[in-house]
Amino acid sequence: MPAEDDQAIVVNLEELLQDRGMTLTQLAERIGLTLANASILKTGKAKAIRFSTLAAICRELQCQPGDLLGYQEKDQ
Amino acid sequence: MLSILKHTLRIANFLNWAMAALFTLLLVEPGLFKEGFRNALGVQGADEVVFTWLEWTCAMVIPIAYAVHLILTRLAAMIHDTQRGEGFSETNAQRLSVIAWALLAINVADLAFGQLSIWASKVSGEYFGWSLSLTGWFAVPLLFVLARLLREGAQMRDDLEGTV
Repeated sequence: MPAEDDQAIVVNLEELLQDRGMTLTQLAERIGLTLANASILKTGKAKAIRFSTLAAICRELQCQPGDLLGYQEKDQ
Repeated sequence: MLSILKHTLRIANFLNWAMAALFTLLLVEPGLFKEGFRNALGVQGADEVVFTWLEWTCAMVIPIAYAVHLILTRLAAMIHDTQRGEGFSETNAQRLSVIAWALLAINVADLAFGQLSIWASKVSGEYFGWSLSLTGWFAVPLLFVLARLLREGAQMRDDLEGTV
């Protein structure tokens, strides 16, 4: 699969944060991620996510990986 | 240390072109140096062979000087990037490939020079001093492999930078 196809993965972090009433800064502090990297993840610019980061986000936001990540066709 | 090396490479490149200019002058105006060479070489009765050998040698020095220029400038640029913490990059992998091609060209030119020297030795009966060196031929594939490794390393670094 070409790397460009990874762009079809969408990150629903903003919605999850809004639902939980948490800011990105608070989440970053709780999971030990820099604010810059948290922002990269939130804006969908990340190329990959570590399982440890994913697990920490799910722990703090009380969600499943599927709630955070979604797949969307490019032209949709 | 790297700064010293970078400046040394720049000086070496200046000397490289200075030598190339000298050889170009020899090629264009061989008459200027004929007597000096005749006395220095001490070759009797084979002047034409000596000067044919000299002309071809001078002609070969110019493309070799360009190849050396490619090697020295690319190496200096790689050192500059390394000093800035940007050593692992696609650009440097490309530079290393250029260095490998330039070294290959120098090796091929050395073989041609060898053939020329063997011919001149046979015709004149004088030894024109050339022997096959395998070091350069080993270095060429090594550099191509290193360029490939650097390219893959740069891609891995790019991926890592986008990993959260």
